[in-house]
Amino acid sequence: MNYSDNAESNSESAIDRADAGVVLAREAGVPFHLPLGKASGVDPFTEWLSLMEVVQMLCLEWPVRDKPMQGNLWRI
Amino acid sequence: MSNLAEQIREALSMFVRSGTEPALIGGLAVVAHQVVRATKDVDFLVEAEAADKVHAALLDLGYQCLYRSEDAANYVRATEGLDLLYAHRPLARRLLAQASERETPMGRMRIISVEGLIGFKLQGFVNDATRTRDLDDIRSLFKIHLTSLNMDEVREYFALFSKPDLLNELLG
Repeated sequence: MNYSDNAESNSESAIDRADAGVVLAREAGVPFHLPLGKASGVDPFTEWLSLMEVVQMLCLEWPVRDKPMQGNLWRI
Repeated sequence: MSNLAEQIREALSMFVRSGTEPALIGGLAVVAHQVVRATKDVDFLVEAEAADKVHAALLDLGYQCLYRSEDAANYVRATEGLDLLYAHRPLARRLLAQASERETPMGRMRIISVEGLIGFKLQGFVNDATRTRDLDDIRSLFKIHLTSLNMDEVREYFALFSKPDLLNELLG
């Protein structure tokens, strides 16, 4: 959280650094799409681990499977 | 490293010790293909011949087997889950053989193709229509990979489950 007296200018610079839509989508728990290709330098697993750190702090009891997989249409 | 990452690292080591080379499928494979969402689904496609060996190794690691058939198995250990699909049909064997290897923060692992992942997600949804998350994942994968996807292969999966209309709906 930002406690600076100069919150307005700080928030403007934050928007400069990151796409607001991406940040909002991430914080709302909605899937977000990373830039494609290795050239982007963003590793999806690193992003996922970072996301899950926050998720696990907020959701202390993640539902664990309590019944087997359903169905009998196995064709692949 | 988080417990989740540690669980995956441990599973990868177990597969190496068991002499099998699985491929990542499920929600984490969706992440691998650039759609980052919250998931703790640890799912692997394993050659069917390795099923007994992997089963014994997972029990040794403290997992409890919830369910096991010739197609799939579900394991739990306290708050951790791990699911396996067994590749015994030609299609799954081909997808397993073609999985690409990648270095990850949890170690080196093989990852199913986007097309194959869409096929497995469709199979999951067809088997359990309450799994609408699978459809959301397919939509997200289409959204970012559409121009590079082998659509003939994707169409084959939707035809396999008699769902050509669903493909049009998801693309629409």
